Amino acid sequence: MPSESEHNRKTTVRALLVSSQIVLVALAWPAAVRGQCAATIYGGADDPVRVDSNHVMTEGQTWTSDEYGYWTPYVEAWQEFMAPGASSGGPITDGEVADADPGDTAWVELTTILNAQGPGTYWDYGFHWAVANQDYCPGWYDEGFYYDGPGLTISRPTIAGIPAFWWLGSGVLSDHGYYAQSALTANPNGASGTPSWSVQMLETGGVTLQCNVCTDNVATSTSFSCGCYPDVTIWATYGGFESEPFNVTIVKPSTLTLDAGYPQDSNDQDGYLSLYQWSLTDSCGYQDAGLDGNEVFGAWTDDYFNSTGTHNNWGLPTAAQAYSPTNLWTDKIWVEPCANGKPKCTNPQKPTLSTVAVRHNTPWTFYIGTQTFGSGVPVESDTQQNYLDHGRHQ
Amino acid sequence: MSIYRCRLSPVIAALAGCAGAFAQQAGIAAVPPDDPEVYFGFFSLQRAIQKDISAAKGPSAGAALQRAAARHFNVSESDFAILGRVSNSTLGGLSALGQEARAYVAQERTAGRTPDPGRAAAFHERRLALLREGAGALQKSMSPAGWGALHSYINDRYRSHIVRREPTHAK
Repeated sequence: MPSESEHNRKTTVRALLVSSQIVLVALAWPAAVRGQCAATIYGGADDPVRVDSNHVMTEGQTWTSDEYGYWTPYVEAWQEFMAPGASSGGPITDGEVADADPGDTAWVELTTILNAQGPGTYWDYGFHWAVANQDYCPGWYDEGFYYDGPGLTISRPTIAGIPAFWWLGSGVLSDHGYYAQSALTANPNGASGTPSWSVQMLETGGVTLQCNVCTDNVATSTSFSCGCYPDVTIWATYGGFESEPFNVTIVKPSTLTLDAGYPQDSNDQDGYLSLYQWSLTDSCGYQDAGLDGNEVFGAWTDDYFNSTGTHNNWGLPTAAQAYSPTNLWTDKIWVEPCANGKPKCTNPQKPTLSTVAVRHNTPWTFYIGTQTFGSGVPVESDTQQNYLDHGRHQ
Repeated sequence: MSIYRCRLSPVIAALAGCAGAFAQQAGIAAVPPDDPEVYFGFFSLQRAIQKDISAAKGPSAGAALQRAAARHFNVSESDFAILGRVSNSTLGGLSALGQEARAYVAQERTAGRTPDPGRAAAFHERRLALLREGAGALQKSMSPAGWGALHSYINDRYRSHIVRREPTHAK
């Protein structure tokens, strides 16, 4: 990129050259050839050409209306660039000088790789001049002129789609309007051809794409983002010109928070019912209503046998699955009837609950996103403990 | 010499009154509509593009550039091919005219005579006639839609970014 001082120096040298010609030939001017020498100098630039998706070409040209070969046209051209939002631009190439035979057009073409330079406005900036053959046209000169050509504004391609979608567990693509996929469409913004897609995953978030070379695509989550910020970036590249990054956040149901007042212990026939209620929130901190859920029991341990040498005979519970129209989830731990139980269960004791442990299973795991047991996103995992007169998650 | 350079973008420059930055340089003028010389510049542009297409790396790159150029001028590829042929033909005619003019000047110079101003004017008229014929050949050969788009491009868009100036003589 030429500096302003270098640029001015070139201009000054050019001016001195022209001036010296004037001094040398002024006295030798034969007025009779004025008609043949009075050509017109033309110069300018066409609109920049988007050669392909990743290249823009600008050109500057100079010619004269001279048929006699008296005038040699010259052009020095730069390609200039202004970034989006900037108030001024400047050259991104060195000045390139060209001349042409008299009667022909002096021509400079400059091409820039768009992906490297980036989006913005490109145009030709040129200095146009012609030099007269002093043998035939003594005293004639042209001091030249600068000209800014028209600009072409280039934008990067973009990707349209929903930038935040869900991780609902392996193989779960949707659940009551919660989607683990996003339809994506590439907008070429003036580029041509079919884009190639690529993905960069910075932390834990991950997606797979339905196709590699296509205009419409589908991203499917394969894991979840680390926190509530985008850590997956997708690009659609046209002939080497990358789109603006499309940043994706993959949200997951993440947390069950025990609601105030729970657990609640109550009589259930001659046994007990311990009721839990949790509020579900996601990795962005929002409450998520209208999802499926399921529980899976872990291995059972006979605490009563371990402490007394006698096996308990309490029936094992059946795992449950459900849909919750709200973000509230409940679990009921109950044991009844107890008439033939070993040990015999009781109603919750007051004022102090029993400390006699009968059995426990671990890990007890609760999944959100599907009613298929063991699938979905685990949001709670603990030990479910049965005592003689109550149950607990602990 | 005072040369004014507008460092703003064309868009900003237009807003700031610099569009036509050339107007602040002495002697620079816009080119009037349907000036034959605009066609000379445009035919030269075509020849340069044809050279670029021929020099492209591989047939597919050349074809891509040809498509891009046709799209740039809002014409079909078949009309673009006609444009290339007419441009080359017209420039060839002008080249022959230039050789004839230069031979005449050389002949007069050898004979110690000053070239006849009437012949000079005639050469210039023939140049303009060749350019007008080139424009006419485009109109005749291209599809009406193609010619309409191209004529608009040349006479409006392209012409608006070409300026001219008469050289001066030191007295």
